[in-house]
Amino acid sequence: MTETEFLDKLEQHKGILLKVSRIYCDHPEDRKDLFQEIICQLWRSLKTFKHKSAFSTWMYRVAINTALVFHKNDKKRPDNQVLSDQDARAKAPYDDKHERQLKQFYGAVKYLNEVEKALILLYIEGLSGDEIAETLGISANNVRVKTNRTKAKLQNIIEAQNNEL
Amino acid sequence: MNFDDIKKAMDDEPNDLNIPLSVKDIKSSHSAMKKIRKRLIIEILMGLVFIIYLIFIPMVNKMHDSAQVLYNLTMFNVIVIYFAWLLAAIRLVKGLGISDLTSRQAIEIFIIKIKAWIEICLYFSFGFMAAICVPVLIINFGSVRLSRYYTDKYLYLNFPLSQIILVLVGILMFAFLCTLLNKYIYNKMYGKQLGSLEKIISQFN
Repeated sequence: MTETEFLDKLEQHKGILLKVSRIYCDHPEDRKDLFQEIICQLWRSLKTFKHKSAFSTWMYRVAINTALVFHKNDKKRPDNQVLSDQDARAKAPYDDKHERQLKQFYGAVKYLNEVEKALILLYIEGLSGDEIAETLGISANNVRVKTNRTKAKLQNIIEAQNNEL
Repeated sequence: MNFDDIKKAMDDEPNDLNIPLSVKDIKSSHSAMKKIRKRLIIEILMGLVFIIYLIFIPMVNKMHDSAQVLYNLTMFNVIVIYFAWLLAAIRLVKGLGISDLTSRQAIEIFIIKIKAWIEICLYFSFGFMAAICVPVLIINFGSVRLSRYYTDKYLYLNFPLSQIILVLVGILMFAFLCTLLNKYIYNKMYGKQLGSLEKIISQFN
């Protein structure tokens, strides 16, 4: 696959990169760094793509593993959330209800650990248990148990946040 | 919580991130694994500078002929041992597999390699620091600033057995303290990144 073909493929599946970057990084600059880091890693790992699975499945696998080992610049940014919220408000010309739900979701996702974030993202994206298991390198049974636990945890966090309000 | 709504909202979410026109335009360095790799390279370079410094010491600090011969022989040994370590370090850095992040096993193998390397380095540093004491002692006792009488006395161990044992114990103590210091330095250099990688792997279980 040539560089141009690779970049075209990325453009087709850009949503994967954006969602992984968004779920793992609150701060726009971190998000941009992770976005670029994933592209670099995908390019370097391209030789390992043997067309046995869909390009998007392989992309998820590399993107999530890259996000797991990604080092955020937390020290330099004590006001992460403030900046993130300002950024979201600055460009939110879409549905209010969706915006509120999404904000609530991202607010709760922050309290999940790195693997739970991956699980919930893949679940939302509609990947099957087997596909999630293959992407994360755990058993399908483990995926089922962990996904249920993560959904319950997310629900509890959101309820707790609503009660606080 | 309706995950279908969330998915739709995520799909519609505005963003300003774009796929670059070329992969070469991308700056990449924000990975715990890359940070560890970078520090390993720095460690190799620092070791190299230290060895070059030791090789050039006789040019600055003139020694008696007898000391010079001993110094050359012992330094040759130290350099051979060091280069063996250097080759192992270069092989490790080249084979770290950072380019392959297609599975979590790649992260696990990376952690195992680095932890094994640190363990080996700690034992190596004990032997190396003990070995390097000899040329360092020769530099001091073989210097032309000391009279030849003292040089020969110390270099050829013309003093009581009890004192020789004391010197050996001193060398071992020095090597042990250096190993402890190295352990602290390794912890500072790699501990945070290794800890975060191990934490991630533990989350899978």
